[in-house]
Amino acid sequence: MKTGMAKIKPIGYAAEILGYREKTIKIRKPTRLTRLLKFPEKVETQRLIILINDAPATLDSIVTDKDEIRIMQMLGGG
Amino acid sequence: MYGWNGKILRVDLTNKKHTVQTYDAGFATTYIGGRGFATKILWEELPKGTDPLGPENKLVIAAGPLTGLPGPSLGKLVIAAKSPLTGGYGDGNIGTIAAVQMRRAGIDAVVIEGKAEKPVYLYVENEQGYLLSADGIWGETTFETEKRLKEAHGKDVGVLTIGPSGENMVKYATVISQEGRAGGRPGMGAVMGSKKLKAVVFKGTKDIPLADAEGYKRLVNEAYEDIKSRDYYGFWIRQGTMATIEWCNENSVLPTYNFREGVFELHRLIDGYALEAMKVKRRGCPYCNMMCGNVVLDSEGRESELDYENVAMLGSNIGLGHLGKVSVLNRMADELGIDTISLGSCIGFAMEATEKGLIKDGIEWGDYEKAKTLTQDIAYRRGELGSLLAEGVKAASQKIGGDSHRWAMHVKGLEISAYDCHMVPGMALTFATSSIGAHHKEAWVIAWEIKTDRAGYTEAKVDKVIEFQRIRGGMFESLVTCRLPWIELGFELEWYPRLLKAASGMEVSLDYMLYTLADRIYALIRAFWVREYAQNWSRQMDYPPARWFEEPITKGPYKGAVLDKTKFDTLLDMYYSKRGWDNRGIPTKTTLEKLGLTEVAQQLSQYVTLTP
Ligand code: SF4
Repeated sequence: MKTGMAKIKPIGYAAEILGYREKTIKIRKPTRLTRLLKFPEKVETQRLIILINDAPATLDSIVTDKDEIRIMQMLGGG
Repeated sequence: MYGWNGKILRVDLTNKKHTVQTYDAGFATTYIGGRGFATKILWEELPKGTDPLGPENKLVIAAGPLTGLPGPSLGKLVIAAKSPLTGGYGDGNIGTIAAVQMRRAGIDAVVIEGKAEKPVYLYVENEQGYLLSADGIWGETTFETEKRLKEAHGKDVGVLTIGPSGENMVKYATVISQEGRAGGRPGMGAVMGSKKLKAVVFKGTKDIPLADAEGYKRLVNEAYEDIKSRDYYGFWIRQGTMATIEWCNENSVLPTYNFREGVFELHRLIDGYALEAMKVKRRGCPYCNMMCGNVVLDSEGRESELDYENVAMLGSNIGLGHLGKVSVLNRMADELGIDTISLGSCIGFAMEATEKGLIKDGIEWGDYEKAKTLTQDIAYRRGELGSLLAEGVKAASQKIGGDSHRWAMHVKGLEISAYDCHMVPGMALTFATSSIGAHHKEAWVIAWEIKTDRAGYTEAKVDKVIEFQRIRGGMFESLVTCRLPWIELGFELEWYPRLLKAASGMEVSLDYMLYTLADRIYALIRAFWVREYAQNWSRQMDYPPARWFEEPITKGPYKGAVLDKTKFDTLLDMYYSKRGWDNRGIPTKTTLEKLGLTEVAQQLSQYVTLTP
């Protein structure tokens, strides 16, 4: 089976709670994003924006190799 | 009546008179306060064609029924008048102890008209107004003025003041309080200056009458706890709105080089982490437990209170990637009483005009020293460039000509706040339809667009813009409560009718505030604009600048993006239709009547033909 790397790029608050700003992860087969991300219990995940290759996604979305995942807070914009 | 004091202080500067006007519960619940009061008063009392800088313009300082009470982020008021920058309705909110003191002085609003013979300030104590000489403070900065007024009247008074730019009637002069709280972007400071009114000082010792004092106290304690329990709270306390710099850069919406681009190569040097490294303290509005005023020591060793808008506009938008220097420009603007957003836009405009050869001896991108000098020149209307830019980018572009009107970044004359819209059509619509000209305070839909369908021109986006306008521009601006607990931390809207019920004893539902009050306010403000512009009004007034339609961004992941004019027009049509406005953007007669504005329809039909 082909093994690829997915890139995870949380920014701002999302980077704080995940503890990194960029990470590459081996993906052996299509995987639910929720399996790749470990959020502290308190985090209101519905207030996060998740993009896979710039397209809107959710924690239930399937990630494959070479995908780029960006995660950020649902800011209110001042 | 509980909650509301039921009193408005009327001050006539020309005749040196003041009176206290009372109002009843009907008026209170129909217009709530803040922007609601201001729109009603300005519509009824300013005849069409009123000179914004003439004695007949009226300055309305209005609080809401929760203002001055303990409770999350309730210490705000609205300052409104006909705008000298746009010629339309103008207002701004400001969080300050002056809001608390005004309400404790037994009044909910002050309406100031006329013009003083010599510079004065208004001192208000427990319903009484005193006009006192501003000798010795006229000409001073806002910081120095507040300091002196506190020395004269006590350290607990609340002060709203203008700086030299207000005195010189710079069209985007603001009102400042507490060395960094600012309000009234569309030239409310210039209106004060035109009246020779340097400051308004409030002192109050009265209790605000509460319907259920115990219940209110309980609710407030729960509300504070709710805010503190939010998971984003800790990060918010660290970076506040400054987290938005990184976020906007990542999403290609950070205004850069006069809104040419959405990413800035030096963004790391001005972002929330750069702020954390420099921060010396936090401050903010009264009764707020999520204070967002992050104070740093600037490159001159002085304190400067930063937030996202001023850093983006005086940083990336002018090509300046140095937070200490940006902080100097920001602090200077606060001292001089100039709106930081419009200032950053005007400087960026001048830099682009210099690059294109439309201005001689101008200013290059990122030139900090010249930006400092130019800020002073604008405030004092010194020199050709300072005088030109003191009028705002719309007037400046009309004067220098060329193709500059295509990249003079404003809507209706008000400079656009700090979000590039090449690739967020919904946000472009919010700037286009904001009721004071391009401002983000009434709706900010970028995160929602990115989370759903960034590139789309959909009905759902129009619905979202209107939903946000109802909440932020209607309810929050009339209660005069800060929008940040809701938008940034998810503090639920249901808290507000509950707080209002405990304070006033009245059932004012969320639905009422969102669908009746807010829609009435939007229609009334639109009527104000249409009355002023009459035959010159057209839907063109609701278009964002040509740059976003014509010049693609050249950097970042959305390289090549522009707004689609035809599709934008479709969005605008949908917006008008949902608001019950015709295709010129004018409320129909039926809409006005439905909102209880039959007399407004009658008056408006003297100036334009209303669609039935
Ligand atoms: S969050 Fe900021 S703007 Fe809002 S009330 Fe608190 S200090 Fe003022």
